[in-house]
Amino acid sequence: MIRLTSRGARGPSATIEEKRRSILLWGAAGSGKSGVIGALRSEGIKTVGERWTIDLADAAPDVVAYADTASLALRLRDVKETAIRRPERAFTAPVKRYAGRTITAVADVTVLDPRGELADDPASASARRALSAARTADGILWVIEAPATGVVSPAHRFAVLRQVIAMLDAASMTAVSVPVIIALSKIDRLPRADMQRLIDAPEIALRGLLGDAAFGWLLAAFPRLRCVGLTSAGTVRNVARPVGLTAMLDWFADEWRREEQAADTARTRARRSARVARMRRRAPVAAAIAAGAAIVGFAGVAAARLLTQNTPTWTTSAGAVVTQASAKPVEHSSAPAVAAHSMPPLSVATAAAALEHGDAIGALHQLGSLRLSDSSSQRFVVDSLIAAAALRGAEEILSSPTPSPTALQTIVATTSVAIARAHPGTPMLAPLSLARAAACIGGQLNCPAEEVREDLAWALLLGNAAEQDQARRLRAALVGDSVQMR
Amino acid sequence: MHNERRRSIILWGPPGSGKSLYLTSLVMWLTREPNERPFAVLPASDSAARWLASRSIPHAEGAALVEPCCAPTEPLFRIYSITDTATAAAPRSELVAELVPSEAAAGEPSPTKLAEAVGVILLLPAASMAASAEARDACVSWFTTTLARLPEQIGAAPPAVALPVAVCLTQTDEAPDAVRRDATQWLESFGSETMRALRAHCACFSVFKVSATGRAPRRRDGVEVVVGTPEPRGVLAPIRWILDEASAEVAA
Repeated sequence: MIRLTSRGARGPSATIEEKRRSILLWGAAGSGKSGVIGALRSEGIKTVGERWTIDLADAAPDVVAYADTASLALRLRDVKETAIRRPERAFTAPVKRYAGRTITAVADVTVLDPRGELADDPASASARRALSAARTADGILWVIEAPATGVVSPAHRFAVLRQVIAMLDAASMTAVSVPVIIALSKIDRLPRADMQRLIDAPEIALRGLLGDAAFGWLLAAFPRLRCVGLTSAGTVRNVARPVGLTAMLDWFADEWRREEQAADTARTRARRSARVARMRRRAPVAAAIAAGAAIVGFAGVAAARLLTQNTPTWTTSAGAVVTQASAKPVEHSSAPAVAAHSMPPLSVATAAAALEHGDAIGALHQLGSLRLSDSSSQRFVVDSLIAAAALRGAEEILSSPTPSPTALQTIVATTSVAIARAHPGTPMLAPLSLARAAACIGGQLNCPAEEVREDLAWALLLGNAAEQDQARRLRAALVGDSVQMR
Repeated sequence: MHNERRRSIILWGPPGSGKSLYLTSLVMWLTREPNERPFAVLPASDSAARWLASRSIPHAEGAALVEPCCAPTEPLFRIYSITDTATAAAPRSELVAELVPSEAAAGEPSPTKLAEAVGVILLLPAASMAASAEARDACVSWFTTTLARLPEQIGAAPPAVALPVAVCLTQTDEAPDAVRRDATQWLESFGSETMRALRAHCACFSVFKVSATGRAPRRRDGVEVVVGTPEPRGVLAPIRWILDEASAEVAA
């Protein structure tokens, strides 16, 4: 995990908890692993600049001794031979990144094989156990000593191959998906020009050292491979001034940061795609009913059609004859029509006013609670208001990012009551059925399939041109969508 | 390991056809070919790696070829497509297929393995066949018999084997005019029944010239030595061809 911390002058401040990352440090005996640990230890005495250091506050004594002796060996190189006290077993220690006195990142470093013994026989059981840690590591730092001769021997290349195979096999992978650095170490021992070449173009240099085939193994096994030239000691005598260490560990941090950003982006895209998919399903339905709602208009249009019929009677689709008291003609207007004189003006008026003010669902609630005789003339006005409010409400709800199923259910319930009392074959059925079908299809309310199809059929049969067109669109949306109908 | 079924290529050949040397060239000696998609081949097990490593030992003049010892049971190799371009988002390698050699120790490829393969590489030792009529007859007999064993499409009219078959003439470095020779005609020079059998059985085949070492070995103190560094020629061509054919079939 990388835990980002900021520690100001006034003391520890809030810690931003993030996933703590781990780096596996691997290499054969003499490859330079101790140099990396010693360099991290040496960097700990600095108080300025950007650097990574090893935190030994909670380390076991043998680990502390290892780091101290490794650091001393770096400083006394070429002056005095210093024995490095390597622990027998693998260990993990935190490394912290500093900018001045501020900790900017923390990770764990696991040294799998401090003595480099497992690399000699990477297929052994103990090596497999150790290398299986590659499965859970967030990064691998593989240290290879840069050969003085300028080419890696066939035996050494084969050893690299065996270690690659062992790592993949132990971790049960065909490729390591985490960032991997191959660090060519001890480059300070090379001629100046060679050292600079390894610093400037480490991958080209490594490919030249290993050959195309062996470099191909590394690329194959480590798709996120980076090569670096590293000197833990540096080029200044009697001090340890590593070159390449900070940049190397910074690259891991950058890669992890990029992973997290990519994961966040993917999650956001997935959420957006899901929302878009839902919107796309609703959009045709919303569009289908939008014009229908406009054509039906505000309350009174359907009522006006009925009320302007010349005959006070009509026949139902079942053949019965129904007489109906004639009502006053209602003008086409944008305002809801006022019903006959016997209508309780307050309830219908408030519902009409609510609809006019954009509260279609509120209007439906009010209209649904009205207690009127089915044979009263007011019923037709109310039903036309219901149709208009239902269509308007369905359009508004289905166009919103988060459509309310409850509101859509209200539409279905209110229109169902109106449809049930409407005489078969009356034009009123067209807008009511259209509104109910739109709510069912657009809201995916699991309405009975037969009912939805019948609604669309009535709209096609009885509706005007615009209503028929909207019904066709709804039918197309029903066929093309994955809406589950009972 | 991913549980998805991977594409497999069967590597098949009679004894002495050069299978282990071909694999060694793929794993140990591969060099980049200009303007060609690069690949890397990794043994899937330590035993397979040690088997190939034992095929040659360093020699003062280059690489000494050692007679292959017994192959591991069910050796497996993985073919990766690799790229030199390092970008932030794209991985630099991708496992594209498995290479399954048929070894005498492991037995012939099972019908299941053949049925699941996306291609077959059949090796024929050109130099051995040219040098000995007996060897030629044995290899041709093996070749025609093997073609008849390849899985056929049910109900398909001949040629009924839809599997891409890459016929590789190995040891081509022994022939001085190898570069100029046409691979198909070279195969036919060992007997017309080879091409007849190919055309009769296989709907999709191609003939390749390969050299695992790049140059003919020299005899040095009783040991075959490849002077200098082995430089394989044409060893990836059959693999590229099979992968292209397999991709074309999927796309179709």
